[in-house]
Amino acid sequence: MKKLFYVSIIIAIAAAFFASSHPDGLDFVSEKFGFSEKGQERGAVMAGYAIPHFSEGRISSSLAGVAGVLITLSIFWLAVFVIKKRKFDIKRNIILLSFSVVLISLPVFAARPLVTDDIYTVFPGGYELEIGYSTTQNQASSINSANLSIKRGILSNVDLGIEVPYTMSTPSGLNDVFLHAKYRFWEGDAAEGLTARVDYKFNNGNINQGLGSGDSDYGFLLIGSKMFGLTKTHFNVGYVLTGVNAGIQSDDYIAYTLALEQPVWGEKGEVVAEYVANNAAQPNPAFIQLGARYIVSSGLKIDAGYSKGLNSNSIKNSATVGVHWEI
Amino acid sequence: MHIPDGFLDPKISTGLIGAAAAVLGWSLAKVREVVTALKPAEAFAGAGRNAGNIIGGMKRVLTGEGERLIYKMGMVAALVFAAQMFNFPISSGTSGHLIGGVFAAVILGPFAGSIIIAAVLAVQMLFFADGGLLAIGANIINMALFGTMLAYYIYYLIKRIAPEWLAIAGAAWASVPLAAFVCAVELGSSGTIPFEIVVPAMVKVHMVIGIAEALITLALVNIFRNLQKR
Repeated sequence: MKKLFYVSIIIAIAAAFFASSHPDGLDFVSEKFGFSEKGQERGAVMAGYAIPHFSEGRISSSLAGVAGVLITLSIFWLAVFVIKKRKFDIKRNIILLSFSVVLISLPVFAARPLVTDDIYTVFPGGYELEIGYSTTQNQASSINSANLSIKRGILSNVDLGIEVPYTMSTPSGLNDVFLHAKYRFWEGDAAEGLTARVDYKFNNGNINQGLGSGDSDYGFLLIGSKMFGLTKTHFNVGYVLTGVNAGIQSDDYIAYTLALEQPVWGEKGEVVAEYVANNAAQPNPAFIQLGARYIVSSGLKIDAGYSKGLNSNSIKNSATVGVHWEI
Repeated sequence: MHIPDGFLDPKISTGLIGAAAAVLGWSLAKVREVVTALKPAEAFAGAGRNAGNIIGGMKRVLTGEGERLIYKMGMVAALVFAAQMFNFPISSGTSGHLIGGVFAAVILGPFAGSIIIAAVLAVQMLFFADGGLLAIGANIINMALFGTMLAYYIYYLIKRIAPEWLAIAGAAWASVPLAAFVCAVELGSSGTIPFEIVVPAMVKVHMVIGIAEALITLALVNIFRNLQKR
């Protein structure tokens, strides 16, 4: 193989000395039929196969040829280097079936039943408590689980939260616990703003029993909200760094969601809809959720939602009911 | 046959960039299948019951053989780059140079071949201003799709009924006017020059250049195979 490399170098050097300087086939045709001037001259490091700042001529041209050979070769060497470094961790072959995986992308810190978070934080010194129950049909199995989420407002634009998921169907037990910090760094006049959220997922779930992902994850989320008329829209874009030796997931991924909230029945209720997806596998796991909230009194809401997976990498469907309480 | 910027209608060049991306994506996927092997992901080994939740807990790992194949692709690309610099004179003040698509495809297969030619075209475009930036899609389609993958199919068809050297020569010859024809069609549809002028002119010149392509390709394939035997 090395000999082939020497052959290439020799050809590149020799080309400068022996190659014909006549125009090639296309140049010839373009000159003959008078459209060659339409071609735009473009600059490049070694435009016209010559080394920059070097006397034009055969030496310069052969050096440029050798440089080209080395550059071409290095593309493939670089490819091997990059592939090896990434260990060719092709996401598409790791088909994710656990519902928690889709949720790992975005824990349910958001106002139930949505997974998509909004820009708002709990007011300083206040608490927000959410309890939910959901039953999920996966592609292969079904899981019933309960979720407890507590948030505390620290500043007018900062809150902290913890979320504890518990699987009730077999295998039952505690799932991986999440922590989060939320910081609203920009707020506009018309109920619009931007919030950043950092999540940390523990690896307390017992992976040998099928609980949790087996490693801790970090998530970084950008949240944007804007109101159009009475309809609130929220979008989330997040990057999740997953633990490398995770049982279910072994590569980082991007999560993206979009949600709509529309007040109905004279502010007594809200209907919500959202699209949730991540690129952890191909096709991207994704589901849509439709839900409603009933406002019992200020600070207390009951809600329900139904989700449907959009492809074979997602959940089949899921139903959830819960309570949202602000103190 | 490197189209510079300005010859093609921007709509056609951007469309061809999309088409070229699709061709390369297909080729990369095919090559990936060859250079990697499916292995059970280590993390699942001790996963116990959790393993039941996972279908196909496998990941693709670069094999030693695959690594050598990529290095080989680099070597062939370097050789094609060097050979493309070698303009040989043909009649009436014209010159031609190798495309090298059939050489690359016969040695390493049509998918690796198209990646090799695309890599060479990219280096020429980026570092040597040879071929336009917007026209890169057209150049990849002409030389990596038609001049390599389709020409390989011609090689495959001839090989079934004739000796291999004839298949190599025939496909290498055909690859040049074929790529030139597609190039002429692109120029014609861009309104740069009428079809009835550019198509015969391009194809005629490149039918002659193709003879050299056939001879050089035969020589290169022989050199390569001899080097490999040792």
